[in-house]
Amino acid sequence: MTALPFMFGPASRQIFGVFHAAGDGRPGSTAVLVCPPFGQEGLRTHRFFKVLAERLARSGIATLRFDFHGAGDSPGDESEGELDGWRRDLCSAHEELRRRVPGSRIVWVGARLGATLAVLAARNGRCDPSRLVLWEPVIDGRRYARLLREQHVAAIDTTFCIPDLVWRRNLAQDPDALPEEALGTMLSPALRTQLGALAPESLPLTALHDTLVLTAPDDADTAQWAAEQQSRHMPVRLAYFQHRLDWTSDPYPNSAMVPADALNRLQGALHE
Amino acid sequence: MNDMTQCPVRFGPGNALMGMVTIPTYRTPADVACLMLNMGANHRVGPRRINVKLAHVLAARGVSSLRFDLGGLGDSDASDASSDLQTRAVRDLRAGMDLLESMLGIRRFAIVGMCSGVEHAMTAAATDTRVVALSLFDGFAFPDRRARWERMLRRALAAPAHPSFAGKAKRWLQRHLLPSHSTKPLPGFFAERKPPEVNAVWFGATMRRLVERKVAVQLLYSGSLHVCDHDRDQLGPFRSEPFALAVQYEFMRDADHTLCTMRGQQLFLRSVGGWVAACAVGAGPERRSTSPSPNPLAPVVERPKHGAYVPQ
Repeated sequence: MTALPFMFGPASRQIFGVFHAAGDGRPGSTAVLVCPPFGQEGLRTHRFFKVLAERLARSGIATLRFDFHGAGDSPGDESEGELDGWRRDLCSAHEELRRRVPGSRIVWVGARLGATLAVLAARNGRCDPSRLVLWEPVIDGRRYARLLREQHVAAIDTTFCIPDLVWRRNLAQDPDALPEEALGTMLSPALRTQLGALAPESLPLTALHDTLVLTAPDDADTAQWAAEQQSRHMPVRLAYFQHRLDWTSDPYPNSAMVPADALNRLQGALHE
Repeated sequence: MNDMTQCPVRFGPGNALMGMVTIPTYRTPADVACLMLNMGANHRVGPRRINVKLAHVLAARGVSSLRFDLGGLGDSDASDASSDLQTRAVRDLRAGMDLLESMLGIRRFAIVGMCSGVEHAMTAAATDTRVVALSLFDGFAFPDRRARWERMLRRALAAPAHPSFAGKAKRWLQRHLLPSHSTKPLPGFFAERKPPEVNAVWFGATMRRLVERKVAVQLLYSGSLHVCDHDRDQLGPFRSEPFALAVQYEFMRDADHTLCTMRGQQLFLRSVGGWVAACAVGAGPERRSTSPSPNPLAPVVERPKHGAYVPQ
């Protein structure tokens, strides 16, 4: 089974994708669209999602992976990266997968900011996923940006022979500032504004699709968000899941790249 | 309006390798193309998108490129587990050159190698005369006793304010005192270590050979390796060799090994982009294959015949 790399989307906003056809050559009843995380988290999970896509394809589930505009192998500059454009990219990818596997129910599997974008894209009515699997979605943009910034400063500390302490001082002086860059990836002004406004109440789910939320047992905020969606009678289920994948580590010692328990959990999530 | 055309490709034995060819759209491509490969096990996303950015910079300067994942890494599939990583990496690089020769008729190449990619790039250049330029970032370094002492002294002075000093010291002790500790490199993987003397002999012999063949070489070193650099310190005993005087050497104090800052990325792109473009454009007109493939942007390309491979 050879995955097919290709470009798709409007000419003015081409997107790079990799299509894993179903192993038996016939589209099955289900297809999966992978919504990748942002920046370093995308790097950390790239291999994971490749292996997951190969597994799914072998089990008869066609899968499309893609890079958002200005990220990964897709054209565009990081300075153009922002949630509204990426949400449209996600719908373009959905349409592309629909074209390749007509008749299949399409499940979106999103991780971190990719899961957040899945929520945003699924509720605008332009595309019709039958199910969302959200792996530790980012529901608080400011807290997420703060995490990225802290990890960035930690990386500066460890990767330079003698670190530039200005980064750490700035973090201490203004801990809530949204960073212009984090771990090698630029955050555009528009993205910083959008992250600043991203809060649990700005992410209402709809009844158009089922949603499964996978989160760590100690993540009370995501559990609270899911409970609020349930109280609105949205078809959402929360499941706790602990894994050994460190989203932001660089480099990787003692941090699994493709933890088998996470693979099994994500694969199983498609059928729950 | 895009000033480049980007074409995903599969190539190599069994079409196992995946990459992206970038071609300048509005100017005649240079007769030297650039190949970029992985830094460690990392794919071209997030901070490792530096190869994508470099491809865009080069396209704007008229240089075509192929960025790709070595077999078993990133989007490329594993193939031929019977040979070692180095052999496979060099074979993959040659397959990349074959691809560009077949697609674009280009027969001379620059390779950008970073970290573990440096050894692969040097070996490929030593065994394939199509390679005319090498840009090598944080590869082999041989700081002498004076340079090492100075580094140790500067680190010691900075230690009280160094937030990660305790962690670094702990990891150093674990590595050196606990043989079974998990930070120990796995044999045969990227971190495989050869004795420094063996590395030095190989590096010196290979560099002499490359420079004699007039392969242009750029050696770059980041601020992760050293604090300062007075006299080509990373070359140590090689600094006064004739080949050392023929290479372009740059110590990039403000760039770290993983290029985790925008400043570091800008420095890298400016230095490597400018140097590779100068090599490619300065190489002058060169003959092209007379029969490139009919559609140079065919999305999936079968492995072409070998080019100018020189057996050892």
